[in-house]
Amino acid sequence: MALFEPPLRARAQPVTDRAFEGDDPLALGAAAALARRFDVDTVAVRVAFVVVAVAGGWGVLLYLVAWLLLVWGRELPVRPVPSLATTAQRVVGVVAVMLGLLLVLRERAPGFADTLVWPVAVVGAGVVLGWRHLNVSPGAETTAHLARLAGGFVLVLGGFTSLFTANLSVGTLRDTLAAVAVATVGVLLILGPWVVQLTQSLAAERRERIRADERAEVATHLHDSVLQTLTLLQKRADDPKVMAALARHQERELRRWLYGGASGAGGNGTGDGDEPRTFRAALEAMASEVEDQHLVQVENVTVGDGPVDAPLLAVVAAAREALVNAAKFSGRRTVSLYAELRAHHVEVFVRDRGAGFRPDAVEPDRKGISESIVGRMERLGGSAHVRSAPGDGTEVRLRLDRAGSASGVR
Amino acid sequence: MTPATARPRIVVVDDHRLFRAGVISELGDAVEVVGEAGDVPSALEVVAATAPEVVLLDVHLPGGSGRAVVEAFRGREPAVRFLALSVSDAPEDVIDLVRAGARGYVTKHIDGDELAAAIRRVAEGDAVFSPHLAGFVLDAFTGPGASATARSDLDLLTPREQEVMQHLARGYAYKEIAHELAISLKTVESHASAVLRKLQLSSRHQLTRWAVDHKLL
Repeated sequence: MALFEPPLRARAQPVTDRAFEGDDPLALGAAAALARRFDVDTVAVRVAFVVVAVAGGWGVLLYLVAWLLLVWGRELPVRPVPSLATTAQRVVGVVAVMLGLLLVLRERAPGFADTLVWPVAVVGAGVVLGWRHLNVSPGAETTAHLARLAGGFVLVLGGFTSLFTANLSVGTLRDTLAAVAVATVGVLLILGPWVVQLTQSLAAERRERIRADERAEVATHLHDSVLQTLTLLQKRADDPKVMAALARHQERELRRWLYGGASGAGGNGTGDGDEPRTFRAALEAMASEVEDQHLVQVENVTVGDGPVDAPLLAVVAAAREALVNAAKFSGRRTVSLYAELRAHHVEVFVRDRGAGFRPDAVEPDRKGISESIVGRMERLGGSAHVRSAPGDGTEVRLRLDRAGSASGVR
Repeated sequence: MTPATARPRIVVVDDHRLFRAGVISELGDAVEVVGEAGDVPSALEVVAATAPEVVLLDVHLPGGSGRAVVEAFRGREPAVRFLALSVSDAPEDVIDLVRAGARGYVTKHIDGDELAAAIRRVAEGDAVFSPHLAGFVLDAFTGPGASATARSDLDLLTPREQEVMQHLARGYAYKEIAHELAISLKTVESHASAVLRKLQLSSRHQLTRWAVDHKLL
């Protein structure tokens, strides 16, 4: 069956691509489909089928089998409903060709008795009648449709019955079982494609519903966050600082939502009140907090990542203090935060291009730098350096060796 | 290499007309805007017709990505240089465009003066890294995802290059880095260009693994 699987390209194409599209099918399109499948000339395949059909009759059966396999191997061909004239012409043509072939076989081929030929013809006609018109969307079945289906059903069953009553002697239990099996096969032949098509359209419906749900979710999200923020912005249009903060907050949120794990937050719930679980997420959460509270923009770049532990959280806290200092005293609206988590050490740089100050001139009772930054890092066994000069900005550099915890770093 | 004029001739490619207008007015007299485009086909047309020195290029465009535009002009003479300007901070976008041959990447947060400086630098043949791009580069080359065994020598950044990237990621300007590392501005620029070249040459294999490590694939 794998032979008849549609090529990848065909499968990837949209549903509107018809399985047997392309050459206009003469009968069921099996020859054309085969020709396309194996990249040979359609006419050659058709001629081959006819030759085999004439030379023993098996061509007709082969053709039906090929069509069956092709139908089963892929989605059912969805045809545009042809005009009545075309349909009629085609049906008459198919029936005439089949009849002609069978008559020729009956005359020429030995063993091709009436008992075999006619039932096969009847089954073939039933299949054509029943299946050719299945391919409309479910829910659009008309009475004429059902009638055709029923007609096809009766023809197939009748054909099978006469085929076997004429060729086998019914009477024993085994023959009864055989008859039941034959009837089942007939029913499967008739109903199979319909069931397949039904499942397929159900799947398509489900896909459509999922898509609709996604759209609804996007709309909800945009409404809850973006539209609300825009409304707030209009109300607070007289306060540029608050406006900037709101816009930044919204941008961050939207970005997290859009790019999610890609930017490194990794779905660690940085914004949802959960405790961040990775170093990167902890820094991001901290930076957004500072942005919101002190109305600055933190340009946050993190290299490397790993699970956050107590020492790392302390580093984040020290970095926060440095960021807050920069936000309060630098006079600039942008502060850069760069953190690098390596296997054996972690480094964090907080930098602004603002006013700067003289580190040695800081009053001894000012505890921000000496306690919250330097003291904290030293208690951890790390170090903190503050480099600053008036007019030249400030850089705080935190470093902590992590000899023992290298294994935890991804 | 064509000598860069004081006012580089540029083309701005972005699908938002208002954004283009904003960029152009922000840049003011620093550049000469010779064309604009809003999607990939018109960008190809405009760039081919005007032969600008620098193309400011958005990453996401209707009708394809910015990458398609960069690749279409790769290896052309005279060289058209691309500076990616995007709102996206996603590493895959950034790295992708730079690998395709863009000479730099800046985010839309950049202010007018910095953007003008970046354009001038690209026009002169230098590489321009935003702190974010520098961070991604460090992550890609030296992060825990890149094990030493699987990297070719080509892919390795020298310690000096790493240092330069680290300073860029910390938000330093080229001049400040030169001062900090006690090297000349030209040396900083050549280190940055070397990093860019390695980024474009480094093996596909490594990028794939990096992408997997970062859950991009």
